[in-house]
Amino acid sequence: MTHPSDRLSAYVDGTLSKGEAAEVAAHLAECAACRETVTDLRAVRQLVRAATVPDPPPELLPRLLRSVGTATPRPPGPVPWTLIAAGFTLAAVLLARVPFVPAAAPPLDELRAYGRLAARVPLVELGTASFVSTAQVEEEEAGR
Amino acid sequence: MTPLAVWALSLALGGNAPAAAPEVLDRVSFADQQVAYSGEQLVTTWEEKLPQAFWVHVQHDPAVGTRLVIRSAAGAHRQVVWHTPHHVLQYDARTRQGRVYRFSHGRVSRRTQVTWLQRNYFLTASPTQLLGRPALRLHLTPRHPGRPRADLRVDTETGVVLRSERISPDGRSRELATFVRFAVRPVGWMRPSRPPADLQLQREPPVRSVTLDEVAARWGRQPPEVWLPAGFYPMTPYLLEGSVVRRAYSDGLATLLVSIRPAVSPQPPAGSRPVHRTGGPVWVQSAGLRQVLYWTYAGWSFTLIGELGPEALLEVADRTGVQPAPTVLEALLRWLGHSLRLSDL
Repeated sequence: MTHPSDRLSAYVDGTLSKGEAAEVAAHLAECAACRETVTDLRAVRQLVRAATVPDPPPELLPRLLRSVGTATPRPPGPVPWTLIAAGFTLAAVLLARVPFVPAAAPPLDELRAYGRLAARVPLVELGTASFVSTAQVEEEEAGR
Repeated sequence: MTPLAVWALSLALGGNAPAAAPEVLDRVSFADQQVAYSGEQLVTTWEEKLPQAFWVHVQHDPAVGTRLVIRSAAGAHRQVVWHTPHHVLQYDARTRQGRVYRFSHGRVSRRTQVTWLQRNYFLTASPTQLLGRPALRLHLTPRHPGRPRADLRVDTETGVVLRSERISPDGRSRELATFVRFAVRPVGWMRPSRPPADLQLQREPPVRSVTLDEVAARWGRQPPEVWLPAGFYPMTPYLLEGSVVRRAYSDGLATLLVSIRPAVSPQPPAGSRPVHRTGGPVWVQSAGLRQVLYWTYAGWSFTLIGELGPEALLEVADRTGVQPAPTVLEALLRWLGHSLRLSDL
């Protein structure tokens, strides 16, 4: 009996053709040793899927780079002060050019004062002046 | 009005009308001291072709003052305003809540204001009729650019302005106040009238006349003089209202109101748009026929309201002085400095 040992892993992975898979399946029905191997392969597969992938150790990249003959990178550590200073300088330059203008409420007090004082000009209609100082203003207030 | 005055006015209207205009102006400016009347007035404003209309019920008596009930044509809003020589009282007819203002400062004489008007506007007059009454049509055209035009219909018998139309310098905004019903009343007819007793009135801070030296003594520095367009004169002294110094100016028809506050950084009114000038930004907002300008200079903020065109008002800002807006960094450093000073306390 020839054991299909080299195809069992591919069988577990489901990468065999239908004919090959049928042949392996027929063999497994008769061979307890191969069934045990397939059971082990499936268990390993489940274990790998369930396992979390750990981060590579920090020394791995320098070691790899050294092994391929490139320059040794700077070891990870705090960001250099020159970079921080450059960042602050850039931010200051940008802030120095941006105007700071917070908005205020509409000038209702000014409009009211305007209406009251304009009403004292002889040729100004009181109705119009009062409209400015009351109705229009109050409407605006109500709409806010 | 005496029969002699009616005869003189009629003679003036019938003869050389333009020459009679100054006399009529004089009569118009004194009419509210001599004539009692009541009526319904329609006030309409157009801003960028968008009309807004209000009905105003007008009652006037030289012995009492003027009572106006202003009703929005679009809503149920009803405001009542009483004008007396020393007070302005405004309240909402429904909520009975309002404000009362007191004038303690003097005013420029009416005759002086008529003189300003004649200096700044060309006057033409022609006889007409309104509400079935003989009237005089006065057309006021500005001598200076950037000023509004005005068209008045004056009641020949009383000198009361029955219809007043003002048009902005660019013709895009206008205001029309016209009586649709008008009746002459005997002087003293409003004497029994009193504002309702159940009003809840908020007394606005007293307005006090101050000199620039007093302003300087209060804030440690004097605000810069505001540059005035040609033909404008102070209508009031400097008025201190809370922490605001105000002064009104007039050219006889248009009014300018300048409000000055101590301010470190600008806080322009919401809805205004910045206009970049040589000195710095000036914020402009349109309020019907009026423009509202805001800018800062030398540690003070200026709010200017006037019926002049935006360019004429921007020149006021430019010539008074405009400072650049502070940057975010400057504002941050100022805030830090302020916080450190507070932490020392």
